[in-house]
Amino acid sequence: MEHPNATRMRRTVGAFVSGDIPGLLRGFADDVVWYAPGDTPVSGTFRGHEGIVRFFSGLDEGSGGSMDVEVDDVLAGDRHVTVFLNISADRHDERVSVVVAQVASVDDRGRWDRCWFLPDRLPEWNRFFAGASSGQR
Amino acid sequence: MAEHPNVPRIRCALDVYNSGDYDAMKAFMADDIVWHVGGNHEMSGDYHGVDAVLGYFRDVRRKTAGTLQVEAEEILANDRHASIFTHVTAHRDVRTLDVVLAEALTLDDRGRWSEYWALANDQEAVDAFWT
Repeated sequence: MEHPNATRMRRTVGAFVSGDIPGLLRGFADDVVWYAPGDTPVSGTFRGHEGIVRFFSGLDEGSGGSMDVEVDDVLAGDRHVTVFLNISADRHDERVSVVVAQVASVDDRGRWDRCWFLPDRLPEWNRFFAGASSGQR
Repeated sequence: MAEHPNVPRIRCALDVYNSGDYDAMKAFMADDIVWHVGGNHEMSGDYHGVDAVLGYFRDVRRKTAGTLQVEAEEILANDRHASIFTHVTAHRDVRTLDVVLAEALTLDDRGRWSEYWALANDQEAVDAFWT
């Protein structure tokens, strides 16, 4: 039987994929901290629900709404969860295709309170989203 | 829930890493391992193959005079993937590193590490430490 935190994480990812922002935010603690690598509009430390919305809106905007997200695997314990996501997006003649390990710690109410967003091929990810920030969409 | 066999295997690998016996680390790595070091510092980049990764480990040990230690807060693993929440501390001259690293691993069919990538909770501190 799947760990409840794995089921919760699948629900959170599903909410993002379907554009269900309230459903997405229900998964996160009010004071969530979200770490994303690189040097793009979707890089840095994002705090609180406002930060989560800003991060995911940035992904959607930067990919021109083309982002495809598939859950490949979920690892879950009582305190941490990691979901491995196959993420791809296209913008004009550019394409990004990465495996993202999205790592989260769990607060005492079962909500994500610290999250790390780890694309495996960071240079490729940076190039794609840096282009978006410089008006190359 | 029973612990997956790859969890104690990774715990053992971290102990070996902390001991500095890098030749013994070979047993945990696939020959064609790819090790991604993120950030924006002199160690950033991709290391391909066991020898390159061990060279990176030795470089880290030399630059930190053997002070870098990793302590797993939690290890998650199944047959294909692993994830480690690691408290990393090190000293380098007057600089100190104290961060939590979220690490992701893909595993081959023998449980050996085939790809590694990670992100710290304070990447700027990591960049400053290595630069």
